[in-house]
Amino acid sequence: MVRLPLFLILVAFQLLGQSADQTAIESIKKNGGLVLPSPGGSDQWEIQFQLRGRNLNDSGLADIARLRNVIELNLRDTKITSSGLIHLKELSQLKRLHLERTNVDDKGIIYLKGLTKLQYLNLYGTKITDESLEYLANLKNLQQLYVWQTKVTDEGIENLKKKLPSLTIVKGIDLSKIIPVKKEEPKPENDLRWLPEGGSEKPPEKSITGEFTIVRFINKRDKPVKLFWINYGGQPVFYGIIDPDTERRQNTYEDAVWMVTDEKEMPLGYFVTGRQFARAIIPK
Amino acid sequence: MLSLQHTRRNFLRSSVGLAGLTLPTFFKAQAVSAPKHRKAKACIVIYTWGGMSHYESFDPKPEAPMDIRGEFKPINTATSGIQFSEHIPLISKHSNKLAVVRSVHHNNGAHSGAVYLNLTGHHPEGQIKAKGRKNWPSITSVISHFHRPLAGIPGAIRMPYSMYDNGRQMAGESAGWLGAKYDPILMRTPAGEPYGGVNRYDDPALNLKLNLKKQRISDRLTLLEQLDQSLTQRIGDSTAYEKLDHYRQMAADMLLGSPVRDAYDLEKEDQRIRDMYGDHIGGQSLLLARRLVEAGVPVVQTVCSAGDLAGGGGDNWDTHRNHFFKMKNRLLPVFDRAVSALLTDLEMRGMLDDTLVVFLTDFGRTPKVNANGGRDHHPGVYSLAFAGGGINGGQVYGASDKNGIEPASGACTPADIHATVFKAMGIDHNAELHDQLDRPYRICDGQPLPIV
Repeated sequence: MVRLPLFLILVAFQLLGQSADQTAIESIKKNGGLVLPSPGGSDQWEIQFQLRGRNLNDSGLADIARLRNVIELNLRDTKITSSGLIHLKELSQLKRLHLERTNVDDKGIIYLKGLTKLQYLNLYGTKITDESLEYLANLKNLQQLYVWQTKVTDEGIENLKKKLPSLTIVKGIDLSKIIPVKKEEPKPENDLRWLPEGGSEKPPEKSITGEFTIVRFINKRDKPVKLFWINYGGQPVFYGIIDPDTERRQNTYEDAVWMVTDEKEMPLGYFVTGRQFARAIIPK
Repeated sequence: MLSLQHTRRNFLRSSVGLAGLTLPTFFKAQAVSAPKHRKAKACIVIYTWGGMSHYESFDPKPEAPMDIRGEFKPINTATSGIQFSEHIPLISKHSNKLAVVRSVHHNNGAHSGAVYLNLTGHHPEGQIKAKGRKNWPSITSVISHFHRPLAGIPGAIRMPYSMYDNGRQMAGESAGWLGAKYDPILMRTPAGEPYGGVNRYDDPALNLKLNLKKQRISDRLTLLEQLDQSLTQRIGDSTAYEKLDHYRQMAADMLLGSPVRDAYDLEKEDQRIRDMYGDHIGGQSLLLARRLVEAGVPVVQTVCSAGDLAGGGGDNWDTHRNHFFKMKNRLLPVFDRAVSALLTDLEMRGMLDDTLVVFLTDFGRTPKVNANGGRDHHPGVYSLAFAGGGINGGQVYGASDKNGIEPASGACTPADIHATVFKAMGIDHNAELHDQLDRPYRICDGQPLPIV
C-alpha cells in the first residue's frame, strides 16, 4: 500500500528536475538567490536575495520572471533599480514583495499595478513618494504596506486608505522625536577606607554578593595604577588602568573587594565597597 | 528512557521501514505537506530571568486585598478591556500586537527546575547539569534544528549572559541530547550598560573584537589551529573536539565577514534607533537580536537581566527583597523601553509578521508581600506573552483567579507554550527527534493554544 504513492512522488521529482523551471532556478541560485518551495502548494516558490544575493541587479530579475509561480520575493538590500521591476509584471501570483532599502522609486512602482494578488508590500527606505501610492490603488488584496523612511506623506496615506479601507499602512516613527533616557548620576555619599598592602587591617579574601552600587576611583598618585576586582573565588580580575589624577567610574556591588596595584601589578592597597555610592581615593 | 513504547517503535522502524520512511512518519510527512498557515521565519525569546511578577506586569489585581495587590496601579492599554501594570506604559501601547497568557502554571518552585522547564518544555528528571547531554534541548536548539540557516550563519544565538543562581549555572539553555552542533552560540552584547554593572561570572562568550585587522585575525586562526592540534593529541574525546570545532568555526566565520559580523557591530546602527532601545544591556541586546534576525539567524534568546541571583540582591527579576522599588526603578523601565522599541522597530521594518517574539520567565511571584518587602517564587500561576509571527494580537488567553493565586480558566503549562511556539514556527509539535544514540523523542507534550 505504501510503495505506490512513494513511487509516484519519486517520479514527480524526476519530472520536476527536467522542467523549464529548473533552469530558471539554477540561474537564480547563481546570482545568490535562495529558492524555496512555498508551503502553500506545489510548484509555488519563495525567492530570497536579501542575505547572500545582495549584488543582484536588474538583469538578474529576468530569471525570476521566467519562474511564473512565485508567491514570495525578497529583494531587500539588493542593487536593483526601478527599470528592473519591469520583469516583475509577469509575476501575477505574487503575494509578498520585499523591496525595502533598494533604490526603487515611483517609476518602478508603476510595474506593480497589475499584481492584484499582492497582500504584502514593503517599500521602507526606498525613494518612493505619494505618487507610488496612487499606482497601488487597484491592488484590492493588499493588506500591509510599509513606507517608513520614504517621502510618503500623511495626506498620501489618507488618500490611499479611502480607496483601500482594509489596508494597514505602516509609516513608522519619526526618529528625530526619540528622546534618549537621561541618566541621573547619584553623588557619592562617602569615601571608602584605603587598606594599604601589608597594613594592620587585612581586606576580606574575596568578594561576596550584595546590592548594586557605584564607586569612583580617583588616582592621586603620580603614576598610573591598575585596578583589579577580587572575585567570589578570591581571584583578581583586571578591570583597567587609572592614570594619575584621573577618575574611573565603576559599577560594582556592596561587599566587593577591589585591589589597586602599581604598573608591575605589585599590590598597593584595597577598598571594600559598602551599600552607598562612594569615592575611593588612591593616596599618593 | 527505555520503555515498552520505544521498543515497539524501534520494532516498527526495523521491520516495516521502507526506504527510510516508517509508516507513521510517512503519513506525518503527508500531513505536513498539506497547505497550512504561513509560518514565522525567525523567533526572538525574551527571558526575564529570576521570575517576573505577574502582578506588576501583565496581570494586575486591583480588586485583591491591599497586601496582595501591591503598590502599583493598573493602566489601560491600547486594547479596550485589557489592563497592564502602570510601570509598563510603553508596552501597553503595543497591546494590539500582544497575546498575553495569564494562566500558565507548573509545580517547580526552584529556579533551576523552573528555568529548565520553561526553556525545554519538559520537567527535569533527577539531577540536571548545565552542560548535560542528557538534558532536553532548549527551545532555541529545537527551532534551529528545523530552521536551518545559510552556511556561515549560526542556527541559534543567546545573549548577553548565561543564567547563574548563586554561582551555579542553570540547565536548559543548551542543546542537550540534540548534540553540540545545536548549542546556541553565546554572545556578549557589545554595548549598553549592564543594569548592575559588572557581570559576576565570566562566560566563554564570543567577545568579538571588531577593530581587529584581518591580518591579525588570520594570525589568530593559525594560533587556534595549533591549539586544535595539541587538543587532539591530548584529548581523545571526540565530543569535546566536536564542540570546540563548532565554536571555533563559528568564531572564524563571524570574524571573517559573514552578515552576522556586520549585525554584531552596533556602531553601524542609527544612533537614534539605539537611543530608542535604551543605553542598557537589555535594550542593546534586543536591538542586536533584531539585527541578527535580519542577518538570517533563525532564533535568538536574550536574558533580560544581568548578573546572578544572589538571594534577591542582584539586578534580576528574583525580587525577594525591596520588590516594588526594584521593579519600578530598575527592572520595568528597562523592560518597558527595550521591548516596546523592539516591537516598534520590527513593525516599521515589516518584520513583525515573520518574527515571533515570545516572553518566558521562571514563574510568577507570591500573592503576599513578605517581611522584606519582596515577593517569593510562585509557579502556581504566572503570565507570559507572544507577539508577531502570525499571533493574533490584542487578546488575553486564560485568566488567574481574583487574587492571582491559580488559574481560573484556560490553565496551561510551559509545554503548551512551546507547542504554540512550534505551531507559529511551522514546526509539528508532535515531531520526533533523535538523540546521539538514535533514540526517538517526541519534541513536545503540550497542545498549541488557540492564539496563532
